Amino acid sequence: MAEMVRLDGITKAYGETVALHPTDLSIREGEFVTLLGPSGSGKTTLLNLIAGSTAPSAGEIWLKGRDVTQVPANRRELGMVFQNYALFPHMTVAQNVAFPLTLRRRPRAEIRREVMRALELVHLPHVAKRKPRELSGGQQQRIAIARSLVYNPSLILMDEPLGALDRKLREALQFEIKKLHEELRMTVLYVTHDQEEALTMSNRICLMNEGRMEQVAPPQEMYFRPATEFAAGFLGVSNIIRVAVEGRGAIRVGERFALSGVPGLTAAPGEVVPVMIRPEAIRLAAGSAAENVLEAEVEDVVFLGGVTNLVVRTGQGERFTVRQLTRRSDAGWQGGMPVSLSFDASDVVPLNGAAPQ
Amino acid sequence: MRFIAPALVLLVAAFLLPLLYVVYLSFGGSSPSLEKYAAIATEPLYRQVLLNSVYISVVSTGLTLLLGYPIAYHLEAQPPRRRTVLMILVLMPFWTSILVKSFAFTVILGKSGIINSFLQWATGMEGHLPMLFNRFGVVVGMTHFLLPFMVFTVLASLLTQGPELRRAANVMGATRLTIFWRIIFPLSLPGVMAGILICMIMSMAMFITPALLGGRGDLMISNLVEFHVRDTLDWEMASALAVCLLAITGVFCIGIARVRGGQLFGEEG
Repeated sequence: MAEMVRLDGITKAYGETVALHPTDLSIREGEFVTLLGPSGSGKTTLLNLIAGSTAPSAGEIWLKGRDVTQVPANRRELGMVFQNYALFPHMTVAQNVAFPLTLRRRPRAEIRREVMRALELVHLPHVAKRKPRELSGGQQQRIAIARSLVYNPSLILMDEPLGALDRKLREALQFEIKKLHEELRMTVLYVTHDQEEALTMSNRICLMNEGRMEQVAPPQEMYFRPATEFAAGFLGVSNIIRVAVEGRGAIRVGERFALSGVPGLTAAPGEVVPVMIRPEAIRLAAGSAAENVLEAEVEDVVFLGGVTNLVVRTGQGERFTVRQLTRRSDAGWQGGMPVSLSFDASDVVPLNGAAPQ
Repeated sequence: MRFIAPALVLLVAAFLLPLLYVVYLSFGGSSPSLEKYAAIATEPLYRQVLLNSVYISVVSTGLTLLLGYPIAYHLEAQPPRRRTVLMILVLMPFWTSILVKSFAFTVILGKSGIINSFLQWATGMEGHLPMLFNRFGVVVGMTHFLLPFMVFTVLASLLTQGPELRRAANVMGATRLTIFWRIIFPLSLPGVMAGILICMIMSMAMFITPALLGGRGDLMISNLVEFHVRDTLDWEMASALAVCLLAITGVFCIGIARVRGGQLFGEEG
């Protein structure tokens, strides 16, 4: 598919402070890309650069094969959805949605038709004559979404659009946005600090940290094969430990626990490298009799309903979070119990760039 | 209740009671009659003064809006620090006594004042432009006095808009001009109406400016009140005029409130 957005070494600095280090990114037509990261990681800066609200300090922005680095925001043909909706309070819903079309001097009949079509897409054709403030937050954001897509912009930017909504509404709207994206084949660049939102909605996640792109990957890969400690820690719960490399793909975790055939391990024997194991990949057994296991003691048991989180501590003092499906028979996990841990080599993820590309 | 009691006592004693007394006096005091109001309605002098007041107020308020809106718009666009400095500059004339300011205008606008001297020197013209002791002088002085009120009222309403709506409009394809006329200006109308209201109320009751900068034909209601209080000692007439001024201003307030509450200017809270 054709390339919709290309960023070439785009950089933003405010005096001495660098908000965004040189960044490259390419977004294909029809793709849903999420910029994920904590606040201050540069994701909003990047979005504003693409929107044209701020000028880059260096680098180029290409939209649909056109260099738009110097093009003002109003001539980039983008759509944008804001966290606080940004609906015009003095216009009705219909006037709001019609606004971008009237700017383009479309014929009246066409405007009326397109506005109704957009309102039907967000399931709100009956509120056309109302003022935005008469609507709930979720409805307002759906109107804002209708307004952003009514003129078929080549790219729709969404700046934490669901940040102001409560959890249930957020999930419903995630689903709706995702559906709109698939039905209309829109290209979306979505900003959020909510990892679940990023995992459920995106084709690709672009994880940002301290003004840099930490990793760009599809959600599955991002979760199962994070490349850095930051990526492993930011998405989901993770156990990050340092292990000694013993040979090609072989590591030693504890005195009685060694694994071979760890995928993507490139470090040389003798080095100590950080690796990640997800809590759900760890097997737990009572006692410490078995061969090739990590001996530990239960420190804490957190019952969460369907799953139970256990915090265990190994003899070396390392803490692991273990997540297990709750079974009635497991009710016996208690603090102080001796247990043995084990996991497969394939679930060990080497960090800090050691992951396969 | 306990905390507002002192303020309430003060208001009743120093404001409400005197006001009621003024109303009482205007209707003839101990020998009730509508004589003074009849005089206001029929005598040409009073009608002329009333017209003067309305004319001068409307023109000054209009000019204030035309000058004040761009200033407020400019202030709003400044970074907070710079805006504070510029706001102090706008406030500067505010700190000066209106008496001093009016005298300053006699120096600027007078027969051999700064402007006329410059024009005579530059164009070699004979005589001078009449800018003082006439309506022009009153309007200039009054506009100068009203400007901060308009600027701050409009600025307050512009500042509540925030940058998001403009950014949204901009990304959707609107130029700066379109953004102004379709977003910023309509949303600032409540502030504009409030500014007009404040300026009209103040200019209708203005006293010093017409007295110092105006001519004989530029008497306003307040000047007439003063005349009756001090010169003819006709306090009943003075009271009746004051009540008329209050009534006109009140009607104006209600009118503006109606317009603001109605559909014309939207329903921004």
